[in-house]
Amino acid sequence: MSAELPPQVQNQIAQLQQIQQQIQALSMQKSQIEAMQKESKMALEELERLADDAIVYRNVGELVIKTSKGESITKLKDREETLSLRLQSITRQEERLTSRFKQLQEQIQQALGTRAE
Amino acid sequence: MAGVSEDIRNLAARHQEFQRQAEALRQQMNMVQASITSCDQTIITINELKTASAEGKIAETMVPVGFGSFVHAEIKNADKVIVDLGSGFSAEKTADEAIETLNRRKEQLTKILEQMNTSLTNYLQGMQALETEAAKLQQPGQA
Repeated sequence: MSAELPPQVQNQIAQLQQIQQQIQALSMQKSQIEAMQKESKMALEELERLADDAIVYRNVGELVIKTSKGESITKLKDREETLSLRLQSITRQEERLTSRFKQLQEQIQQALGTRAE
Repeated sequence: MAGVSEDIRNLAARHQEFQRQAEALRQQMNMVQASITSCDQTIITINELKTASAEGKIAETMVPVGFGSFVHAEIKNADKVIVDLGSGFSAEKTADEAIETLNRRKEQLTKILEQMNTSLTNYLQGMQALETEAAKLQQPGQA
């Protein structure tokens, strides 16, 4: 079937498939970041419940380093901010790709519609 | 007729998307369920250790060194537990506080699991609705 299509439409279909894959990959990244945000929020709640002089440990690669409640909260808040920025950037990319996807879809439908007439 | 097959193709594509999302959700639900089970097992272990080291006794145990092999060990203080708080942080707590934290975590996970279950039901209902719609379109006389 695709052999009968003009090369331009074939190219657009290939682009459409590529964009669809990119959107799926972004959507997976987005859910991973959202899960990390939820985990950070829960960890922060737990840290805030601790006594100010509580002994806290932080995983660093294979090591576990002793730290304090205050330092851990600061680190976790920084991480939350980074995650939120990454999420914003992914959402923007997703929006751009979705709009390109719709544009291509319309172009292909138009091209196929013209052929059918 | 061409319109009907186009509609069926669209329904099939949406059905496939629902199926993909439902499958991903099921996998995540299995992971959440595994975490809940792990919380339960940890609570049992902490309680058992508390009993074994009650009244100043030193609990005798074995530490795994890999490949099903162990070395003997004694738990010096079963009342100090390092509990995972998530995001790579852990805190030292008493056994009772550790159990409290684990129970809280279990409650949170159970709520998440319930929310996921609702989403899964929505996906399955969505799939069923699409199947009914497709069946109607395929009925003779409808096409």
